[in-house]
Amino acid sequence: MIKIYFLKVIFPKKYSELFKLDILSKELGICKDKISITKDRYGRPFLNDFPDFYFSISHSKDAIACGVSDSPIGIDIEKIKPLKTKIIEKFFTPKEEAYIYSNLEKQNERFIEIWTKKEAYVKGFGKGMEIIPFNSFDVLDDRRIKTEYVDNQILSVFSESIKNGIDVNIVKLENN
Amino acid sequence: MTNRKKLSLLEYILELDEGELEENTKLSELEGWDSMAKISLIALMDDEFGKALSGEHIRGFNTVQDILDFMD
Repeated sequence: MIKIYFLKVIFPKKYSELFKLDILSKELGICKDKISITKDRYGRPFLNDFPDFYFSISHSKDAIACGVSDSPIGIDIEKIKPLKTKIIEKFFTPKEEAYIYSNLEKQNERFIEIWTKKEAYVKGFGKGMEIIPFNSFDVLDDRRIKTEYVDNQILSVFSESIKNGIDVNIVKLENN
Repeated sequence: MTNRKKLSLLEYILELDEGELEENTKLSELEGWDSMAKISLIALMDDEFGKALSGEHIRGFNTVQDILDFMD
């Protein structure tokens, strides 16, 4: 199963490290100071003591999301904002570009949808866009990627297990 | 291109108001310095300055001034 913890918060960038440790501590049932995160050869974070546990974290301007799973996972979250034509022109495929511009009313959210799918994809593979150029793969029909709308944010999740029908559960947390 | 014009281009990428960005601002402290801003910067460097910006260059940037220096 894939579980995505979601929290709306002020200054998500500052809080994301603590949020990640809180989630990992809760999921693994260990103290935060016992969590030791390293990176694999593709740059993906993993826990030495829990080789079958995978996680991915992302933040937008006002929310944080942390995904956990028993198989490799990549997530990305963004708030809907105006599209950037240069990014579409240089980093998206013609098919993705056509999808965005074919609906004037929804082009901003379609831009963010494609963006988060691509980010989730490269984070899932762990190689980053330097090794996997964004315009070298098409995400529109990729059944390994699931996209959800959460509180005016677009959240995309990549995992090989998604195409096999695994559930993606989103857990919305309250900021105390 | 003047420094002010360069800062203005960066403010657009970082979704900041005009005049908000200073040369000595640390990039890590900017909420807008995310992967989309970095990709936008790659496009900007290519279009406006004819320079190829790599991930290695980006990782070496600590302050706004480092980016301005690369633009020269």
